Amino acid sequence: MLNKALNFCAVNSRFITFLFFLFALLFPVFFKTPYTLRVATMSLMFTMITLGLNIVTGYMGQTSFGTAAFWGIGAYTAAILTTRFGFSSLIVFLSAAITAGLASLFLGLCVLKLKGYYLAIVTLGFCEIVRLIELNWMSLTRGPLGIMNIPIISFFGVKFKSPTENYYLILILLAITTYIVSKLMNSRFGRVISSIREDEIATQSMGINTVSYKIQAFIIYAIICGVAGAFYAQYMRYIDPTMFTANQSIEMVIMVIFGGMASVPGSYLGAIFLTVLPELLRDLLEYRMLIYGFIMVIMVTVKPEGLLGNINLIHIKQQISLDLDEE
Amino acid sequence: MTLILKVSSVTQKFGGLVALNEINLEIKEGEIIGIIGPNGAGKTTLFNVITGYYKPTFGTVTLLGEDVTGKAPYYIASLGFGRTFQNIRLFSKMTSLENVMTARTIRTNSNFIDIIFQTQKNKKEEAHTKEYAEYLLNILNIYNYRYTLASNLPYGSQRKLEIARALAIEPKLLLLDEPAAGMNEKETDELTEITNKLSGLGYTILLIEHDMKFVMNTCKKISVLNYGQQIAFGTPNQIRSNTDVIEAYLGKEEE
Amino acid sequence: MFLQQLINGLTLGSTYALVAIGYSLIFSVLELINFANGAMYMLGGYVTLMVYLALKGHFLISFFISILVVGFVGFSIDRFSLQPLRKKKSPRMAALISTIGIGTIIENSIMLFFGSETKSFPNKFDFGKFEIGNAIVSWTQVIILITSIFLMVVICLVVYKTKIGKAMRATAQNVDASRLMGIDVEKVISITFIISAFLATIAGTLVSMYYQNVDINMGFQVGMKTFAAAVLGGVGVLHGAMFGGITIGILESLGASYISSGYRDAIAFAIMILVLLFKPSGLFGKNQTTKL
Repeated sequence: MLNKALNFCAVNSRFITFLFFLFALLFPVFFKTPYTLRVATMSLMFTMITLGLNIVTGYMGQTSFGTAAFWGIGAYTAAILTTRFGFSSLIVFLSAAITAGLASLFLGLCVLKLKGYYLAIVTLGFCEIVRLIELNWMSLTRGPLGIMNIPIISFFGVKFKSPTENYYLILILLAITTYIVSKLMNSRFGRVISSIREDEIATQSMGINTVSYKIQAFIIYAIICGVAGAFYAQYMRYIDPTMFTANQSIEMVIMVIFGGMASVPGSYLGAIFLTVLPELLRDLLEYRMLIYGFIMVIMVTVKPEGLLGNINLIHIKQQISLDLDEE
Repeated sequence: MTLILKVSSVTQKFGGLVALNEINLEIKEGEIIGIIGPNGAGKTTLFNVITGYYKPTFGTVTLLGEDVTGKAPYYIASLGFGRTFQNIRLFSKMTSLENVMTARTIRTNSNFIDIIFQTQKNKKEEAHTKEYAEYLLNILNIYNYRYTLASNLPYGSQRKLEIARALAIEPKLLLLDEPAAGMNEKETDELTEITNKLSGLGYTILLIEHDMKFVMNTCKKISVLNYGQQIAFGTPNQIRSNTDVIEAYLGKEEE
Repeated sequence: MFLQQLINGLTLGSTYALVAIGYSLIFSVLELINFANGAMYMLGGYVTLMVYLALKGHFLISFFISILVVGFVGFSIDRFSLQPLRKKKSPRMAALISTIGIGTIIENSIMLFFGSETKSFPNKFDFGKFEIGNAIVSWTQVIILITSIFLMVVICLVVYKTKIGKAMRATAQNVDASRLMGIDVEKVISITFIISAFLATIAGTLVSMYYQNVDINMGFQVGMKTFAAAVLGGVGVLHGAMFGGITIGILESLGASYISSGYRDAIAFAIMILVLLFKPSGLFGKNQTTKL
């Protein structure tokens, strides 16, 4: 039964993607309340970030706890450029991508020769250091006061005033990210990234400079998080260092672990489920991190590759074509 | 004939242990040379020095005229080495086809723009990579397993997949580390056939093996190592009757 | 001023050393970084406080009970979440993530139970202060330092002079060989966890005593710093952890007064990153070569 469902999904994956985006497009028509739109917008933003993180943690197998740092760098870049210098959103998004990318290049050059668990911890340390810089560099970031009155997003003079407009913007950003990540991971680049996860020494024996590819993957991941951060700053219109903590980084990793490692649908599942769930369980807000802790431990013990982790639609399609050949 | 590989006076010490002592070896284009010796003789250490995983204490490794001693493994491989490993190192969660296609990476160069915008260049490259990978799987007689995950392959096929991968970059030198390990007689015969076929196609091969029958039936020249020293070098017949070699293997059955 | 900071740093650093030893022991035996170590440090402080308040006094007894309780928690962490992963032969990251999850569970449970305000903690060893040069030293500091050093000596004796210590060292070198030699590896692992939990509890209680409070950020902050200390000295190397802990304590103290107190917490992370960049095996660690 499950096999039939998976086969169906594999063969019709384009159609299903189309259906999802159709639903997402029509969502604001049926669910107009600002609260619902906000939750939906946040879900989409976190999906974007999860896709980025999945490249490094899911496909490449290098657990990173630095996501909040890059997200924060993107957010602060946007906040500072718009409040201090009045730049328009297009420049701001590009700048956020660049600063986040540079930060990850710096981190990557320092750190990507390290083995798995050391890398994980250094990214966590990096996240803390970035947070402390955000907290203490008063002249740049106003420290604990945060940055207020961040202007709303505007492209070429058109202001994105309503929640619906912002929702569509993040939907577009997510669609672009999904397209890019899918194409990259199913290409020559993606094969190398996956092979690094499987056996880096074997990959090197093929003449491939794995360190270079790891850095490239990290940069793409950071850029995605940075752009999401720029959106976040202009959407929330206020940011401070408490929003970009190591805990956030851990939450993002949980989204990947829960939804599915190295899986695009898995990223959607993990991000949307774990963004919507706390809203549904509003009364249990204080239990949120506790529940996350349990999810982490349980997932890693019972199904470490995540709910949709082992499902590779392309492999399924190939098997189907083999069965058809036999007939 | 071009000199593909030259190993000069390579000595490898690990602390007080001398794993390799003044090893000299030359391989010319098209040759098949085997390295044999008891366990611990230094065979895999020699491979690791040649491929850059170890930097030798003394001596040099020259590949196609370039001194590659101690250079990064990926760099040396990119010059044209393909190798298999003693302990199979396949990409378990990827299919056979994907394993070989990954190995082809350095012979292609689509960049991010090509990939994201699906340019003609990228499409052609992907198609060609797939074709070439299928061609290699065919040579190794595992085309039927092309969509099977590497971890699901039977043992003999896994070893063959490792070889197919090593061939993907069109290597100037193919290094096989115990390719017949764990194989039964039928599988070894098939491997012998494949190895000779590869040699016939023009590949230069250096291999380590314990299976004497396999070595005698494929290699034109054999180097025998013992305790890090080369104690003999010659044709299979010369080696078969070499007293030093027989002594070194005292107690071991020659097939 | 310098001397003062040195003494403060030494005191705090000696407690860091205790927790760092915990990381090192577990890493050497399991090749695992126990992210729940910081949480156990925090739990130690809070449980001591809880029992003390419940018993309305009897600090030493509360301390002792806390050690037992957290020791049991440490044992449970291994037994119920890590051992199953070992049996399944899960990849190492799975265990790391599991310990992160467990650390999160413990820290948040504490927050839920105790609330998130900082709570005051008694200092029963407040016997006043004395002067050395122009530095003021409190007897509390002296007691903390002596206790920590005493424990470090005890641990060294256990690891190098006892049978169980030998078993630990054997397991650290080669798990399979140890098993074949008849060593009950699972028991060794459990004991290692219990010891590291003991050390974390004691360190947590001592520091709470020193600052006279417990707060909800204790676990994460100290967890990261003491790991940095273990990395500095060489993860898996006993005297490395001690050296690392004390060094980080002193550098933090000096850095906070001479550079800036806001960045104080960043010092340990920065040191860790620098060490991992230039000498990943740490000051006293040995370089590992991968076998192909």
